[in-house]
Amino acid sequence: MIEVSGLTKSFDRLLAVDRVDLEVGRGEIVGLVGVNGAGKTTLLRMLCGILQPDAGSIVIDGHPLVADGIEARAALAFVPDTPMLFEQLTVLEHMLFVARLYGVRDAGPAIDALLQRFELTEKRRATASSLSRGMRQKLAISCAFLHEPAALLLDEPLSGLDPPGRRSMCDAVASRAAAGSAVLVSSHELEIIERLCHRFVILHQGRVRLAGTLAEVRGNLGSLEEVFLRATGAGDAGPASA
Amino acid sequence: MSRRQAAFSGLGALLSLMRLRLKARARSFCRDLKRPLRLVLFLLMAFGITTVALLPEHIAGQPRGLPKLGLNELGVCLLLLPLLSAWTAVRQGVIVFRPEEVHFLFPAPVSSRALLLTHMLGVLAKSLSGALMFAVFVRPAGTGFLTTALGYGLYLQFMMLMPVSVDLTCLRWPGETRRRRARWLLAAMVALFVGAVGLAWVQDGRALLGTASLRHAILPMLPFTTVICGGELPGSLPYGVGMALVLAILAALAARILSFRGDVREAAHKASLVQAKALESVRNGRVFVDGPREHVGGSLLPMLPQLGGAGVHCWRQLTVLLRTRKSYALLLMMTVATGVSVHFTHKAGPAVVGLAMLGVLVVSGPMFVRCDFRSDYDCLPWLRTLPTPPGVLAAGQLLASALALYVIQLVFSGWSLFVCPPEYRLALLGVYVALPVFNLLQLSVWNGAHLMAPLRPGGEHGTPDAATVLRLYMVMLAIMLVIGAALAVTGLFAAAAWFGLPSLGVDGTQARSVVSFLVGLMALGTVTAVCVWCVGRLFLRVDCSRDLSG
Repeated sequence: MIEVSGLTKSFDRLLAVDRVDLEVGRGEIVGLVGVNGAGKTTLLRMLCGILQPDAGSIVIDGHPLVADGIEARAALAFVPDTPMLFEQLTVLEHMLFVARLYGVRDAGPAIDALLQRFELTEKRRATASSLSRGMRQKLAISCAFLHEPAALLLDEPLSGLDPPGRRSMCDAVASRAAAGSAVLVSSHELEIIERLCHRFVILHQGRVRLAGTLAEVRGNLGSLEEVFLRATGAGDAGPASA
Repeated sequence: MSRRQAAFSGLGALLSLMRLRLKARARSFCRDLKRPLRLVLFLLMAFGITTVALLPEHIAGQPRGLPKLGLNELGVCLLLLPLLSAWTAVRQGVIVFRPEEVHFLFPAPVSSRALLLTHMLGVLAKSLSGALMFAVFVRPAGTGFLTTALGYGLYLQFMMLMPVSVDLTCLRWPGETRRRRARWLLAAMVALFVGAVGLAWVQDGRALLGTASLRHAILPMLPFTTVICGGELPGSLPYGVGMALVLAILAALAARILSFRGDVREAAHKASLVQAKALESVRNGRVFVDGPREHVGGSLLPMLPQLGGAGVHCWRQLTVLLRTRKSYALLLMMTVATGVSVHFTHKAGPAVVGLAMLGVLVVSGPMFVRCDFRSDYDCLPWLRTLPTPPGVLAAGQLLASALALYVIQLVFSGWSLFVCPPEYRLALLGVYVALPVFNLLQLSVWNGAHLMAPLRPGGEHGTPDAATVLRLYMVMLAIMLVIGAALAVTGLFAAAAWFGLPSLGVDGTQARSVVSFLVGLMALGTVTAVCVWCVGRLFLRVDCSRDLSG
């Protein structure tokens, strides 16, 4: 599970994340939404250990990220918005490398299962540079699933994907949560997030503006989009045109 | 997990990644060799390098390497590079990883020390190949190939370890402090350079490289120059002492890096983003990237007159050019360095120095000042949709670079007009009058070539391969031919005017010169206008849907 308390991060004079508290339990999918520049990516990068927080604590699967970084990192997986792959390595080589990186023993059957599940079996000898956007995303997610992480962090996982790709990605995320992972998803795709996530955190100007289940956050409002617009003040200009 | 295990956690996986990547590179190389053009290029390169490396000097017909390269010259080169690297390390960091490494390695259970070690191993492999190439092409006279290669290898290790060590020292400084201290360091370096040149100027008659101050300045590099220029010395005491000192320096730096206890991920991530942005900028056609600037204040330029649509494009390019002005520092440094070296090596007067600087700006300027179609790869589809005639659009795009280049030429070499002998002043004035048109001609030919054979400066992954370099050479050859032909036409018209004028009753030398110049200038202007029009037509022809990565 993921436990975040009082997390703060600033860049020079810009306060990007301001005292954020957050908890994602096992088997839970939490949607992280916010306008551009709200601090979502900075928050995710701190959670996966790329950026160091100025204040606050992060605990991944019972391991504090700062004090016990190796164990905490071993329990998490991060998928960025644009899948960055080793262009000259093949699909299979990516999987073998990740298995070694996370110390997955006897990874063969797990790799075969993931390749089959994400329809990459026929591409196992293809280099990453020859893959389409959707295939690259599938490979990135396969690599993230290989060590069965306790915490899964996804930054805009649906950007640039076609409808079948989105469906496939959502199914994969849901299945990972069903297997017991704590999943934190950042996205602008409110409709999909609304269907996929159990809880929502609306981040605005680095702070948590609203958090809870859909029923809790929406109150009298109709959809997550309306809640989001109200919470961030983005809808003050008037209703969106049809 | 024990503390020792944690310190090197993930190292095995990182080494396995290195092995996989080497295998992938070999696979890609073998696949490339199956293409006839690549095979021919590879064989040519291999033959050329082997010839230069192995043929004895008396068979090659000329001394190899740089025969005049002495300890002082080598010392200056060896000193300048670490200074620049140290400045880069303070300013933005040098522990850089590729985006895919950041994605896979940074969130993984890999220790900072393992990351640093892998980074060092990666650069070690590159520096070894670099050392071999340096030893082939830049070998001090009378020095054995292996000795020089070993010397360069050790120096490149220093060049890799020293900035990393500086970077780790600066990690605790906030971003603004780093930038401020980098500015101070740069100012100190410039002051040192200006001081050394000034001192040599005062001590007229002594070569810059022979001054005592410079000999003292390059003293820290003495162990490296001794090791590189070992020549017949291996086994002798100075060589042994030099080698021992170099090894001690490298061991100290490596120990300093490996004893680092903090986390390098954030700093490395930041430096990697800067580098990725720079690479992207280069791929989009810019020579260098200026630092990111979030707030630029108001517009730097008032909107230019419409000029049929050309004005707005010229304004856009000039604004970009002004906002990225720092990226032209290298051109200006090259120009100043040429002027200084011409003065000190040939004891040249200010007029000759000015002309030398003008020469650099005329030849290199169009390659560096490129706020035109060449830096607009990604904008070409959008430009195509605009309601501006292609010729007018091309004129607007090219005018900005031409104007900017002319201003740089005037500022950095225009003073030669006032210091040249009076008998040459009129001719030089003519050069400066014709220069804007000639700049426009050069730029239009450069742009035309790039639109005919669109190619991003980097290859598929941002690093140019042999085919890209060959293609670049072909394009440059074509550019030189077209510019030469344009100048020949201009000269022909001017000569025709010169010889034809007496038959029209114009006999005075001065009058004939002025009229011939004007006729030549008109011819040059006409050729340039045709070239600009052609650039417009080529812009219409370029296939925007193609990936230009080559």
